[in-house]
Amino acid sequence: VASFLPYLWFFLLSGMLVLFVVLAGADLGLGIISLLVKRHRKPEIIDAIGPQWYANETWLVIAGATLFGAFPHAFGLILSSLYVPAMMLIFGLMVRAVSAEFRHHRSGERFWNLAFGVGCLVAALGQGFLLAGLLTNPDAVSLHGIGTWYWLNPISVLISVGAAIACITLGAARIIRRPSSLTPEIWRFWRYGIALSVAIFLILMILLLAAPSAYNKVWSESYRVILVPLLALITLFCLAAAWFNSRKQTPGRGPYAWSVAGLAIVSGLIIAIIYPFIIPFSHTILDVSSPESTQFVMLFGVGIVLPIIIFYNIYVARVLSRPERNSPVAGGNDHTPESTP
Amino acid sequence: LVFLTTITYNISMESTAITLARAQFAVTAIFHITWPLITIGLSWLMVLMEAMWLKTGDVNYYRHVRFWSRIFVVAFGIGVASGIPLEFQFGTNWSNFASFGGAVMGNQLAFEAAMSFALEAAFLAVFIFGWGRVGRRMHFFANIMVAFGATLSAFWILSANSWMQTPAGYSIAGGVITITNYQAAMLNPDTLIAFSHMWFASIETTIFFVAAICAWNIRKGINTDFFLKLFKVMLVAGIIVTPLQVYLGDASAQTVGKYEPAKLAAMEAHWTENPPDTSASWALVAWPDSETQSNRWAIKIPYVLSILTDRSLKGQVPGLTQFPVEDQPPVAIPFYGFRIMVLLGFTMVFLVFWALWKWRKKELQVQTAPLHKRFWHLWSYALPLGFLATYMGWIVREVGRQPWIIYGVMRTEDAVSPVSTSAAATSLALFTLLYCSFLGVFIFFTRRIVRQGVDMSTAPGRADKRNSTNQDRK
Repeated sequence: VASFLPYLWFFLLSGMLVLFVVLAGADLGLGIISLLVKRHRKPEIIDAIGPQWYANETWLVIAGATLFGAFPHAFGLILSSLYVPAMMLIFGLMVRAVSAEFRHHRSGERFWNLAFGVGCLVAALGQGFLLAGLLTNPDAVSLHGIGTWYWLNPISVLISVGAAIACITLGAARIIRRPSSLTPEIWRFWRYGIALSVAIFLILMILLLAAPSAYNKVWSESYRVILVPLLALITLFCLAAAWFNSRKQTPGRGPYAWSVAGLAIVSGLIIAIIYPFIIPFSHTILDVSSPESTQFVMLFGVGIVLPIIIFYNIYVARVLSRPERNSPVAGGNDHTPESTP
Repeated sequence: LVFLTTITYNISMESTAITLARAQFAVTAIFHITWPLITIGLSWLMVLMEAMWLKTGDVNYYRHVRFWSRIFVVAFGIGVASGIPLEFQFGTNWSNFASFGGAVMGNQLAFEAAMSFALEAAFLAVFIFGWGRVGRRMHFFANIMVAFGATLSAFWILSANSWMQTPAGYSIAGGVITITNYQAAMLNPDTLIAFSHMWFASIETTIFFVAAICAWNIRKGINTDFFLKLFKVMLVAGIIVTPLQVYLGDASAQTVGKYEPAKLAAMEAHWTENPPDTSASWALVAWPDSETQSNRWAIKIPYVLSILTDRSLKGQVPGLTQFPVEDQPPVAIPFYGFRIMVLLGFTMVFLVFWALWKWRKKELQVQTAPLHKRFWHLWSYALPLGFLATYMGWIVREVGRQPWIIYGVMRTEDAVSPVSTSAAATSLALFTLLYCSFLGVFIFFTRRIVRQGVDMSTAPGRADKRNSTNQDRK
């Protein structure tokens, strides 16, 4: 059991992060889209994010705490050496949360909408740079002491922008599930988003093939020589399927489902590249694991709670997707406290 | 802010990196605690009001739920936004502490996130957006889940923080903490008393927050009856909570005396142990001086410190000089922080009993109440008392533990991340700016919600009146 636990936690943690990226990523993407549309369109786009953005964000909090508990050394090492990207993510999410709170209170709505979008953009770029910082520094023995800005390089910018565009694509895909007044506007973002996603993905794959010395480790394992290109091909297939599904008369869930699948496969691809490392290629899963007792107890305190969280979140999503039957005589919902004359 | 400056000044003797990391945690934690203080309390107030509404059908209870939930939502949103940095700061600014103590700290924070925070977040959505979408019972259930989640959240956080004060149930293996006894670690000697002191602090703070808003409305003559009733509910709660909190504070100090004697000595500016058969006197005010290891001057009351600490006239109380200078906490901040907190605590007890006396004299009736302007004026100024007392309590608790981050196990100076000074200074500046604006915005919008007042035309919608979710779906 002892050697099995760290790997189990590694995959649970990956699952949480994928959930965060899929659920909150789409929210962030719509926030970024709101920056790019005409002023009168902004509120509509932000409203389309829906009330669950907040529950979606909790996956980051859970993933962060799980990383802290199960792999404390990685938690400290990654966040302190990638200080600036981590702060970008934190500040972005803070600004987004507060703007979401106040944009419904009449005054300064334009300011709050703008702050909301900027928060989303900064957070999306921050999470991209966190990933990029991990992936683009494989030579360092330790991440500590290699400078505040080491994570900033052309490839990391490409990865980070790619992450933001993936968010936009995902957010757009979620909106075009149902035809609405937003569809024509969003359709544009979907089209450019998916094209750019494919392009950036291909460039990154080519860079990986022509990888610098450290990444030779990737190709030295024979299973990766098969697995990595295979996953890359499946990713492209998913994106293609998403695109062709979106061209149907009524796109429905197709584009969104395929985009989510594509993102999940990309996550699998990243894991395939770095496994068994958490910090490539210096700290393996076992190197940074917390003591067995903690990982074992967390199995009960966190592990078995996860399905319950997913279960009640699905319930809440279903409840909130119902139309409001009969809103109170006055006052509306708390979310729009000042909407009544 | 004055206190933050003094803290920063006080710790500026240390290296810049530690100063910045400590100042940043102090700023984020102090601002953050503002909002959980009232969300924990308001969540239970709303549970009470919704329960009364369901039981009696009195629509005024429903109006209370709707009114307070508007303030609750604002506080909750900022509370979460300001709380996220706290979790991640363990990694960004205290990475050595994270690596060393992750088995306990990470474990507890993960429990908090998974068991309570996720629950609260999901059901808050039902609570806010569920009016008209779910039945009354389901809505009430969501309300309870929010309150339960908030309270459970406080428990895990306090359990983690208490472990830093009174570490237990662990061993050090391979250079990191390993938990050997989970029960001992989670329910360490400080956990239960710290949690109850903090939980009642949120209840007490909320009582004064709500009562002050009621007082403001009554003074202005707005919906006097409506707010007077709630004010009386708050008084009844206050009779129990304010003295209980004084008792819990005393019990908390007993734990400190037993497990962190240096902190207690600092809180009391008590430098040398009183010899056997003499009493320790309690300094009302003092000018502590670490250089000379004594007070330059002090106004003292004999016997009191012995009575407080040992429950005897001649109990011996260990003094600061029994600890090596490098193990002594700063003295002035815990000393004065503690005194201000105690003063505020007794002020709140006094306010409650004063109001009770007025109530007995029948001065708190709908017709007569608005006449006592000064009374309501004072009560509306009591709004920040609970917040201030809690800030002081946390400053005493955290500064008094220095120079340790885990008492007796790890020093604060060994815990900090090797982050560049410019990056840390920039983030500190941004946090300070952002949190000040959060506070400003919170005050602005809360004032506006209060000024807009209760919409007395609000009534439950038809869907709210049904009892079952299933009926709703059909």
